[in-house]
Amino acid sequence: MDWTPLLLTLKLAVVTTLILFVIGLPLAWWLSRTRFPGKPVIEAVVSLPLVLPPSVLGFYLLVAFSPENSFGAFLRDTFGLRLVFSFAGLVVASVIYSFPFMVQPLQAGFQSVPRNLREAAETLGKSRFEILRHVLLPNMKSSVLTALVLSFAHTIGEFGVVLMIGGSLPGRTRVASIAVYDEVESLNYAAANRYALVLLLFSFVILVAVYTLNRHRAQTLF
Amino acid sequence: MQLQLDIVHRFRSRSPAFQLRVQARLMAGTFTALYGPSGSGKSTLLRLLAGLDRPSEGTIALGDTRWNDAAKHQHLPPGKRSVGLVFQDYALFPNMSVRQNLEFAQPKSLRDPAAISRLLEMAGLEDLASRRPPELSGGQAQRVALMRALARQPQLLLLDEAFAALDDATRERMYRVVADFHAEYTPITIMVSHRKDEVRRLAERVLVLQDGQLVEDARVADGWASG
Repeated sequence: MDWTPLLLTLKLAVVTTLILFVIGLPLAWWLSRTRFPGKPVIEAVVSLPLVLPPSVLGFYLLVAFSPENSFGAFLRDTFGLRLVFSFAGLVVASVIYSFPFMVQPLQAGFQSVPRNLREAAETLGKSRFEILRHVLLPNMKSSVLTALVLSFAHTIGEFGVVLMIGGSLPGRTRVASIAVYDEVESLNYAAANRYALVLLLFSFVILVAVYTLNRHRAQTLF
Repeated sequence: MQLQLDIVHRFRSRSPAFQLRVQARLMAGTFTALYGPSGSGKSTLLRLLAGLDRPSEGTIALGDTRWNDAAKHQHLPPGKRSVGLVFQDYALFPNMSVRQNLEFAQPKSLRDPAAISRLLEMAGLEDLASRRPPELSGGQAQRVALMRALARQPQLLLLDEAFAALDDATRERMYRVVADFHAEYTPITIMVSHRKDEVRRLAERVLVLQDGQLVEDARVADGWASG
């Protein structure tokens, strides 16, 4: 069994989840507090990947990233970045595609922390970073865990967007879900089954771990 | 050092429209009570002083430092005001132990584990130091909230019904803690209370609010509400 697609999938999910957390955390915090009139528009943009067919999103990203078009040409000429049919392209596409899975649980988490805790910390002279680190995040651990796991699991399960933007280049863009598809196309069901089984078991173990952790947390806190 | 406030605060969301209007000067070392019925604006005034809300009009200043000037859109954030606020619903951090709640309140310049131990002892909380807020009774949580506010050694101490959940014996003990702190550090202390006996026991001056208006400004020693 060739493990490369599975390792590539794992690498993609880890990198995507980390980038999503760094971008999603401040955005979710801002969305949880802002009274900006344009907030519904921003929330709609964040949630768009939830309802958009992956192939549609993948198509637009393919068009945007293509060096034949101005944005893709700008990325290539300015940063030397070629996002189409590359691992970097997969990461960017995955970040966009999994954005709501990170932002929405974090936003709900921030909103679940009683406002007076933040206010108490403010009156104690704590900086925004200190409030985030010592007050907000510790009191929304379940939401953080949910956001990380959902983003990670969603990235592992991607197919349409990945296929559109990355194709199936072994070792570069051929992730596990694409490998399953390729093996089925070749009528090699045994190989497809091995990849599918690993993905199934991996996803199941992650979810069991999350539910166990959340249960343990609830018992220790209350 | 004196606290000067001359503010108007409007709530557009309240029906009927509510307006808080207060003008007062409070000297350092004075213990002032805010007395009045529910909904008269007492807690709102504390929030404005703490910097958690901004007045619609007017100014708040401590000494030469202007905390708010609505006309100039000037607002000093809560953390820069040297304020200790005891919230009505305690607002203890549930992820921290009692001791950690107090340690978190101490400014870096005042970090002193012995001082935290003293505060715990003063409030009779030594045996509860490692407990978390969800494991405390209302009275215990209220004591922690009070000591957390004192840990910061603020220039302005704001108590929003800080003794409401205490039994008689514990209330008397906490009265003494607050009175001793007030005598030692001479902050400007403002206490919201519904109890006349509490006002007479602790405060030197009382501001009576009704429907957002300051209707009485009296010295307790002159026999306020003693009849």
